Amino acid sequence: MPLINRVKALRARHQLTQGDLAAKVGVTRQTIISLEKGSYTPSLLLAMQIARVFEEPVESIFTIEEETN
Amino acid sequence: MKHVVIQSISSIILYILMAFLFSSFVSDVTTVIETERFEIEFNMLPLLLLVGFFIVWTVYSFKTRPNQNLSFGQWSVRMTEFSDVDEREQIITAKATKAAYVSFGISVPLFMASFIFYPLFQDAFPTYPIYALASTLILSTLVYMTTWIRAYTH
Repeated sequence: MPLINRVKALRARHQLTQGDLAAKVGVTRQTIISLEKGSYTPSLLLAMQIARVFEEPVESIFTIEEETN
Repeated sequence: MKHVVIQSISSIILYILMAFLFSSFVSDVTTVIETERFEIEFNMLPLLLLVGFFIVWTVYSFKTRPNQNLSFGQWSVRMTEFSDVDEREQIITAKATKAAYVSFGISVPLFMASFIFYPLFQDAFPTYPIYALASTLILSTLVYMTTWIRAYTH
């Protein structure tokens, strides 16, 4: 069950670069790139940190793909 | 990723130089025992190569360590190939370490089996056991590095 996310869209809306977001949540830019591509599933802690940056609930940013069908 | 590649290749070079040093030492000692002389002559080239590379590698590795907060004492007891700057790299490192561990399970029995034939080529290649041991380390380091790169670029 792949996890899909809206990180790229939210990042653009908040006018943050991948490097900015990476610095805010304490990971490398490569991790943000992988996360946006969907090839990396973040830990709950990282997901919550990202949700805090965008001031949105975690479940509105990260969803299991089958839930959206 | 660059860090892991450089450190893995450096480790492989170190293993090769160590094998060269110990095999050279064994050859010199064997010669001394066979001739029953008491003076020992050493080929200094392998030792100088190893010490020279080790100093350069230590200075470079310490200066470019991923976690700059580590002191020399803390850094020196860690494997330099490991890179776990964030949670994703920790997962990749764990995956690569597991693959390297599995490679030991394959390479060690194979090299053990090769010792069956050792008496046949012992005279031609007396230091084979040293190179066989070094090869298991080199293989596992190569497996670690390739697994790390594949997982990182996936």
